[in-house]
This record gives sequence, structure tokens and C-alpha cells, in this order.
Amino acid sequence: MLLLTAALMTLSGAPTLIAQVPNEGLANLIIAARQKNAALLKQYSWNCRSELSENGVTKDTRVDTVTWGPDGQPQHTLLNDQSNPLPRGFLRKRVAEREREEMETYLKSLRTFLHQYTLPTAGQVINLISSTTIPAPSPDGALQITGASVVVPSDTVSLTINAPTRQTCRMSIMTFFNGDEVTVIATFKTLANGLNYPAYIQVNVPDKNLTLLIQNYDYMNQNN
Amino acid sequence: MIPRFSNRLVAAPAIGFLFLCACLGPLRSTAQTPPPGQKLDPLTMKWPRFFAANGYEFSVYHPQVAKWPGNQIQGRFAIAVRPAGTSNETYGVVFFTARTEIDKMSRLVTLEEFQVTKMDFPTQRAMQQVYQPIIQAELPQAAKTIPLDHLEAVFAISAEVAKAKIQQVDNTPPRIIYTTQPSLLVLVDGAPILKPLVGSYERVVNTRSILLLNTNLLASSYYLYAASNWYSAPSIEGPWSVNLAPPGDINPALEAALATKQVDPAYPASPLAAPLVVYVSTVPTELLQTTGQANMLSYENTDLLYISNTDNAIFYYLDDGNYYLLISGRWFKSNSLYGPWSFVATGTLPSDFKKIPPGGPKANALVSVPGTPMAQEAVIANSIPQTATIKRAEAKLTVEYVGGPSFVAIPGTSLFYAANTVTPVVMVNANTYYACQDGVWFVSSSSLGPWAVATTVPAVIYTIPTTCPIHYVTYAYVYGCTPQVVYVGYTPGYMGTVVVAGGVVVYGTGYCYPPVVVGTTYVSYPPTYGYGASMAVGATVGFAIGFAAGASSSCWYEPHYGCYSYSYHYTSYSYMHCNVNSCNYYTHYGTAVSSTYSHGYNPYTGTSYSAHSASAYNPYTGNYAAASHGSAYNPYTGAQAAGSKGVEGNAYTGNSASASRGVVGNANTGNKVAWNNGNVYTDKNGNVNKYNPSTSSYDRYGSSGWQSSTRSSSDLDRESWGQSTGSSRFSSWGSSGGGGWSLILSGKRNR
Repeated sequence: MLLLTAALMTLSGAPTLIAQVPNEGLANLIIAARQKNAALLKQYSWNCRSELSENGVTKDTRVDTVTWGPDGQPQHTLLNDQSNPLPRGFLRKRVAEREREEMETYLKSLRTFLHQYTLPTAGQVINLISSTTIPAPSPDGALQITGASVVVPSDTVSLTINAPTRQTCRMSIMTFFNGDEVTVIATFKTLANGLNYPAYIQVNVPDKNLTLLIQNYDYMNQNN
Repeated sequence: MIPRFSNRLVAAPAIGFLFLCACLGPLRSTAQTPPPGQKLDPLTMKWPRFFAANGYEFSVYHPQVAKWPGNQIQGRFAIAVRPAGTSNETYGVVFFTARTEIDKMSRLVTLEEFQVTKMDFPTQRAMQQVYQPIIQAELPQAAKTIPLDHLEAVFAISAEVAKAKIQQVDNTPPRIIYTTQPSLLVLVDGAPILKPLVGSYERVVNTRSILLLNTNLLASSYYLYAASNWYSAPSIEGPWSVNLAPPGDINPALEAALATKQVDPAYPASPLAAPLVVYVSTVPTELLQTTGQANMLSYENTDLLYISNTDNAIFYYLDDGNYYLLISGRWFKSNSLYGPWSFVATGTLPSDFKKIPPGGPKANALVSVPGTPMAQEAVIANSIPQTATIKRAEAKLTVEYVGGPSFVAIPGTSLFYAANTVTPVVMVNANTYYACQDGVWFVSSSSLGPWAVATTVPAVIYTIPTTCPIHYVTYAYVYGCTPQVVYVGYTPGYMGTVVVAGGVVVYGTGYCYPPVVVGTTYVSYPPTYGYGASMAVGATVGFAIGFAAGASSSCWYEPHYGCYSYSYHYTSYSYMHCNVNSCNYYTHYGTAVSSTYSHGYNPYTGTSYSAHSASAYNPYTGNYAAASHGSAYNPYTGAQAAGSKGVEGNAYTGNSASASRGVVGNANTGNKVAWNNGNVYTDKNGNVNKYNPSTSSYDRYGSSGWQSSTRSSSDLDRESWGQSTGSSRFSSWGSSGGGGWSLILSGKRNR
């Protein structure tokens, strides 16, 4: 699930794809901002706190430090894990372990599924922006880009872009995974030097009474 | 390619014989006037043109303009000459002056009083005395009629272009209303002035709308009749709502209002699907309207978005998070479509606006972006007059005052103007009065007349400031006269344009002039806002200005002052989508306008400017749309409205002008192969140059023929651009049927 954070980070990076489509100019501006942000992010490490709740009960809380590995991929180092202890007794423990494995498998699949909503390629950004109408920006310069059926039929994705910086302010997703409705709300922050990152991410799976809260913080420039 | 002449031309006789013949005068000319009704090949308006006489064949290349003050033009032609039937051409340059008769409706310029002032054939100077009489006799015919676009385009790139007169204007933002619903803006010229109408009804007289107040205490309310509906509101500010059950006695009030002939019922072009949202404003106001919620689209390679579902020019600049709105040539910005808006001062418009694709949506905004070629061209076009030759004995003027003449001082001058007439009348002193009617100045020793066509205009009149309601008359000129005629003209400023700091043309002075109401008669003055004034410089049509007030609601309101209020009957006419750069108010003078000139002839149709068909130009889309007689065209949306507005033809020639007045062209052109494809240019020093594609540079014609030139070619490149632009623009104009909005504005309107 931690990779979901990194996945959302890909909102800041995408390869180039050129096509003559409506609003391609705006799409290219956003893509360029994401690429610039992705390069900046490579200079940083940060902490990531994630909390999984089921039926309103916290099942697992962990804190990782995220750095960048030699392969250019984010590496997570566990700082603290406060997962609930497994029950005593062989059978009960075995059942709990299986449930935990199933949950991890589910969350891994969910993460992979939701990764598509980070629009990791320029083409996906262009497709979203070109297939929707963009309403008038609000007085604070927020540009709302809303698309439907972006990944699966009847899903909706709404990106709020800061017009002057072209960086993401907010992202909300409503989609369906394995027949269950899934909602994601990500709120972004921007550091003084312009680094844009998802500060809070909340994933809800109402049908399973699951809630995943992710908080990214303490961004440190490794070059300083 | 070896240049050649037509094989229809005679073979070259001996030089000596020709010299004799030339001294005696030209023996023949190939310049011809087409027979009536004959369609003229558009190519005849192209360059080079040809004539032959006395055994010599001449090829005349595209003119280049040095100066063009008023109606006097100075320029030069590159000319090639050779003995007939040979290929031994010699190049030279011919300088000329002429008086220009400019008809912006047909976009043709006729050169009158053509004088060859100098010529130089560097390799055959001894022969110049042979060529000179031929050229003086033939060139005025061969080059008599020139598409305005040919001259305008090359003039635009001329370094000799006179600096436009910069005017001080008021850029205070008007009230700007943004709506997403079909709406109607009703302008009241200041606080409502109520006059008794009939029964318990009073009429708001300082508006063209039918706006009534029922003073009956039991039904006290304002009532507006527009677009075939009654609307009512408790106060003039609103809120207004459709009233499906107006008072039973309101119909006589409506009839009484219509009977005043001072009101506009704002009939819709077609029945409205739903009542409009009504805004009544007593201050200068502009209505912004999107079809539903605003839909933003972006341009490639800019940081600009624009609103696609509106007729207005509204942009969003991503970098500063502001909307930029273009109204009447002025830019205003706000971080919200609902305002507040502030004026964007000269030099502070983001440079990205220069990157708006010239062929893309909202490209006409480029006219109002300082520094763009379109803005520059607009300034040039704004300086070129519509001219006419007025018969002094026939042009008449009667000034009707509302009550007795009432004169008001013009600030900053010793002048006074009459405040209670739609005809601008200026009192210079107690015994000298000038009046400007439809672009013609008249003079009288009395404010009541009789009026005679003025042969001069006092310079002080041209100091009337923009703060004065009749500033627009300072753009009407008298260029000269004979005992029989007066040469007059007006530039687009007469119709409301003003050149402001930054080198752009705007519409309106921005000043809000107080209305004059005498009795129940309302005299309105030039408004800057409220009519959707917009400008365009199209790739095909050139500079254009139009109004589209109420476009989205299909209801029309129009400027109504001086030049927009034809005649003296206070009758409203439609100028809502005119091209003020190609209209001709002189049509109002009928036969008093001399029509002996070749303008007035459409070389593409072989007739006069068609009075029964027109093509209207959409400044927003850049498209033309054919409009049949009596139809109105919405320049914003491209939609045609029903035929409530008529057109008339050009009074230069009348509705059935004879084509025998036609363009002087060269009927042989079609049989010729143009030398050098017309790419021969002269520079201001009289050197003849041609483009050499093999070296991508210009060769200069000297004493030993064509030689490679080492000089910078940038000026020649500009000449080349100007010529090609002018040619293509005129071709487009012609192929579109000519006319543009001009035909909608070519004469008085029929309701």
C-alpha cells in the first residue's frame, strides 16, 4: 500500500506523447509541470505514515522512510509497525494470518488498480484532458479537470490544478474494484521551492468497510 | 523562364520610326473597359499589367507606396519595356503621384489626376524621352484601378507610414455582466427620464428600448417590451421577469411608443424558445454570455486558455490566474468572470497573447494586441479614408434641431456644438457654422442654414477632443475642390474608432456623454460599450469592425448617433454588424456623388456591388457567409437572422449601375505570361530588383542588366510580403462576392 503513495507521486512525472487533440496545449503544460516536479522529488526523502482501518477499527499503522534507490525507484524503510498482534492458538492464528495475507493481496491488487489513476503516461493525461470540458477556473486559480470512464466504465476522476503552477492541488477518484465502489481523495501540498506532493490520501472501500489513510511529511532535500 | 509578351501584340517596327511615333503620342492602348455585364477575369486585377503602344510593350509591376496622406498618393512602379515581339526587356522605375478615389465597399482604389513625376531606365536613359509620353498616356489607364488591399498591404510595410494620431481615451471599465443564460441587455442612457405616453403610462425616453412605467398605483411597475415579450420589474434595476399577463391597457401604450419611431422593439430573428433574462442598466454596460457554463480550451504553445462557448473574447492566463476580456478594443482583467474587472494598461498585457494562432479561435483579438502585425495593420487601415467626389450643386443638407438650436461649449476649444440634433453642427463663430453629414462637411453663416458643401474645414475643428460627443467628426476631411466638386473622405474614426497609446485601434472614446432629451426626443451620443463592438484583421478581408449587441439573444440594439443615425428623422437603422472599415456613408447622397469613376464596379461579377446579395464576414471565425438580400448576419455566431434588415446598393452607381463604368483592366492579361511572376520590386531610391530563387536573394537591375545585390534584402522581403498579402486578400474578397459587411451597411435600412 505504501507504493500507492509513490504511485500518486507519478502525477508529477510522465513521458512525452504528442498528439493533436483538444486542449493538448494545456495537457502539455501540466505534463511539463509533472516532469519538473518528478525531477525535483528525486532530491527528497520523506516519511510516510499509513493506517488501515476495518469497520472503524485500526488494524495496522506503520511509518516508513522513503528514499530513492540506485534503480531510481522509491525504497521504503520501516521505522515503526503497530499492527495488531496475531491471536494465540494455532488455528486462530492461522486464520488470522490467512486473513492478513488476503488483505495484503487485496490491497496490493487495489494499489495496482489505483495506480492507473495516477495517469503515469503523458498519453493518459492528454486523453483525460482532451475528453472533458474544462469549466472556468475559480478566483483562486483552481482549474478543475473532471473525466468519466477514465479507467473503467462509470468511474470519475477529478483533478484540481493550480493554474499558475500547473501542479495538482487535489485529486478525487470514484471507481469500482472487484465490484466494490472505491473512493480516493488526495490532497496535495507544495513546498516553498515548488515541490508538490500528496500530503494526505484517503482510500475508502465502503462495501468492505475499509479505510486507508496515508500521510506524507518531513520532506528533506538530500542535496542540502 | 524567358518572359514573353502576347502574340497578339504587333511586331516591333524600327526604332527610329517608333521614336517618331512616340513623340507624336501613343497610337494604341490595350487598356480596355469591359462591356456592360461582362464578367471580368479576376486576373486582370493582378500584376504585372501590360500595355503596348508605338511598337513597345510595357509590363507594369505591383505599385509601391511611399506616402499616402489623405487622398494623395505617391508611389512608384517597376516597369519593363521592350520592342514589341522581342525579348530584350529593359527595366526601369516610374514615380507617380495621383489623387485616390477610395471605395472601401468594393475595396478598389481609382487613381485620378495621375502624374508621372520621374522615371529612370538605367540602361536606356537615352530612350526615356521615347518611353515618357507613352507611359504618361498609358500608365494612368493600365494602373487606374487597383485593389485597395494591394495598396494597403504594401503601405503597411512602408517605413513612410505616417504616425497615427494618438488620442486620449477613458478606459474606466464599464459595468460587466456575466451570464450563462440567454440574456438581453437594455441600456438606458443615464438615470431614466420619464415622459407621459398614454393613460397611466410614461415612457423612459433616454433609451431605444420600449421601457414604460405604469404609474397606476395599483399596478405600478416598469414594463419592458422586447423580443415579443413583456417583462416587468418593481424598479428599473430589476429584478426583471417575463410577464405573461401584462395590464390590459398596455397595448395602446405599446402602440403609442412605436408611433414615436424612437424605439426599437428588439424583435428576435426567430421566436425565442424561452424568455430572456433581462438586465437593464443605466450606466455603460457590456454583457458577457456563455452558452451554459463556460468551457475552457487551450492554445498550443501558450499559457492561455479561452472560453469556447461564447461570442465574447474571453481568455484565461494560467500564469497569473486572471481572465482577460476584450471589449471595444480594450483589455480588462479579473480573477473571476463575475468581476471586478480592471483595465489592462498598455504594455502590461502578457506577451502570450501575441502567440494566439492567427488562424485559430478568437484570433481577431490579435488586432488589439499591441505589437502584432494585425494591430499594426489595423492602425494603417484606420488611416485610409473612404473617399468620394461630391457635386457641390447637388449635395444638400437640412439640419433639424429638437427645438431651437442649442449650442454647448467644446472644452479646450473656442468652438460650440449643437446638442439637440443628430447632425453634428459646430459653431466656429457667430457667423460660421459647420455641419458634418454622412462624411461631408457643410458650411453656413447660420445654424439654420442654408448649407453649402464646404470646400475647406477650419483646422480648429480637428482639435475637438475625445471628451466631446462629436469628436468623431474630426475624421471627416475635405481634400480639395473644383468649382463643380469637392473631394472628401473619412477614415474609420468617423465611425467611432480611435488610435490609442500602444499603437492599437479601439472602438469608442470611453467617455460617457450625457444624453440630450428635448421634449420626448432623445439624442444619443457615441457609446463605447454595450454593443459588442469587435474588431478583426482577417487574412482575407483586412481590418473590420462590427457590432453584435444582443447577438446571443437574437435581439438587436444598435449604436444610434450621428453617423449611425441616418438622416434627420430620428429613425433607427441597423448597423449592428457593419464593417465600419468598408462602409460608405456617401451612398446617402445619391446622385450628388459623382459616379464617373471606375470604382463602383465589381470586377468579379461584372456588375455594380451587388445590391441583392452580400457576403458577410464573421470576425470571430474568420469565415464568410453568404447573406441574401434583406437578411442580417450575426458576425459573432455566424448565424443568419431573418430578413428584417434590408440593404441597398451603392449610390455611387445606383442599384443598376452600368458596368460600362467598369474597371480599367487589360483584357489581354489572360493571354500573357507574367514576367518574373510579378516579383519585381523597386526600392525608394528607384532601383529595380527581382527575387532570384537560386540565390535566395535579390538581383538589382543596373547599367549592365541584372546583377547580384549585396545589400540587405529585408526591405524587399517586406515588399514581397506586402504584395503577396494584398493580392491574396483581394482575391479572397472578390471570390467571396465582395462587399463583406459593407453591403449590409451600404445604404439606409428598411425595417
